[in-house]
Amino acid sequence: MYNYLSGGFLAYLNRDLLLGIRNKSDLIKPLIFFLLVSVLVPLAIAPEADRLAELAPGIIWIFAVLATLLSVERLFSDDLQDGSLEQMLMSPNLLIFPILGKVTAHWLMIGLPLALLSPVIGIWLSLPTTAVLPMMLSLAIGTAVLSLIGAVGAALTLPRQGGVLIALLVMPLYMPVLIFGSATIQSAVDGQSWTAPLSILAAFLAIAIALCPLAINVSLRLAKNG
Amino acid sequence: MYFESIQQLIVMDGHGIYVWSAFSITIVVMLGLIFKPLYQAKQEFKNIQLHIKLQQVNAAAMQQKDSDAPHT
Amino acid sequence: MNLNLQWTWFHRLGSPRWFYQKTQRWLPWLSLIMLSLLALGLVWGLAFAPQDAKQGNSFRIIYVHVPASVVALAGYYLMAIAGAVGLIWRIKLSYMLMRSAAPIGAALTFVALVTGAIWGKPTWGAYWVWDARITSMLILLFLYLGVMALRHAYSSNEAADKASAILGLVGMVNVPIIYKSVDWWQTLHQPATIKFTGAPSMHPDMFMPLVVMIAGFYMFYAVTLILFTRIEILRREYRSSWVKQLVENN
Repeated sequence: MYNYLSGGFLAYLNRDLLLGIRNKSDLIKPLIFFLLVSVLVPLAIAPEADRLAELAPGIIWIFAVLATLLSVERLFSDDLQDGSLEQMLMSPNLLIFPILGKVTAHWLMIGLPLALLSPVIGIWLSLPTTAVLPMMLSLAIGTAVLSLIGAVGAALTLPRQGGVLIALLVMPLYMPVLIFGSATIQSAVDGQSWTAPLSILAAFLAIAIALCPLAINVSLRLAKNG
Repeated sequence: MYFESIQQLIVMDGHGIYVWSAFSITIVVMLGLIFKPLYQAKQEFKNIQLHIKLQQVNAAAMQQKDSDAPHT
Repeated sequence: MNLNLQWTWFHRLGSPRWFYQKTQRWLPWLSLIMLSLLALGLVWGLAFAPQDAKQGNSFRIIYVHVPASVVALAGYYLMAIAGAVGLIWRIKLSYMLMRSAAPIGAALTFVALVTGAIWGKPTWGAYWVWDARITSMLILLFLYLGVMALRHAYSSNEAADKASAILGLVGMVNVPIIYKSVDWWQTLHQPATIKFTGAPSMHPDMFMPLVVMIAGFYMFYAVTLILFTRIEILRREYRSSWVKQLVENN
């Protein structure tokens, strides 16, 4: 019954979460990547707190973008291989809800853990404690936008996955999120109002939720045929 | 003319190298954009001619085969 | 019935054959207008316009930099709209236009970037400055390259056309957002360096050649778009009888 009401949203959310939990290595990979590259920063630049704190807002956001990009590639490819994508496309429901379910699952498994892990990196990079909450919020909202946009790229490149194609398609579209995401943290560090850039991120999320599933829908049908 | 001599037009108070290189790069790219399709059109015409010829040869061969068939 | 009559022009417009034959006649005129505008703009801008009080003669780069940027940006919208028309009305010709628009737009964006960098050296003392407009142009170049590269992911022309159209539309929604974001980002980090163009405050003696050059670049865009699209038509319609006739008569 609840599947019927949600138009397949919960069914696909459950399914993808279950798949993710059973297949832990895929889940943990981006998080490990996020942590490991953060260790490289002080080693490569300097272990001075001032310089690290200055770079931290940007660095954390760049790593978040890369970690999302790394994982979003496989959002639909496993489904294409085992045939469940075809099943999804044949369902009588509006495809938007299953798509949103899958993307939400991706965000719950990648974006949200990144946001929750980020205080660790904040401490490593000597980010002021006042900026920790804005950082977590901006990552939580921003990675949801990244997941949605990344899903469009993943759907479009489905016939030929891997390589730099998805990065080329998706990276330019990530720039506004990156700008306002790191600006949220930066504003908090500078003691300015950080809710303004954060609300713009939230506006991006609203636009992306409205438009991205439509684009993903059409691209998935194309990928199946072409 | 704004400049007093051709010499001045070329040097442009030391900015000449920037101005002229910017303009020449632009013109080279623009010429490329014009001539690339013109060259490709020629190639494409040749390809299609070849395609037509191949079709004709194939058709003739098929006919030949049909007329040969009863003898063998 | 009446509706059908009204829409015939629309379908004729979507016919590659009609386009190929019409543009055959238009091309000489368009080229003539393009050449005269560009020649006039070049001579006027290079030799007759007065130099800028602050930037000196290096400001003359504006006469290629700004038209290239303007047309490259407009070209992205044209490409995305052509893709949308193809998706909605399933018109083959608009897909061909879309495909042809991508390399031209990318080349013009490249020109805008290179001339901007050359202009930056005497103006800012560095070839590359993360100025809002230059950064946006760089992102635009990546958007164009993405549309061009996506095509190779698909084996059929039809699917590739549709995929590029979707990507173009996604990009079109994003281009204004990217522009505004980068603009805001720049004001945050670098308050008021030298303003680049500031068109309204320009003196008419400087501004008129710019208008001529922008018009010339638009004509150039039209001519190259037609040339590229004609190749695309030949490539896709080589089986049709009118193309065969055309080739045999040639």
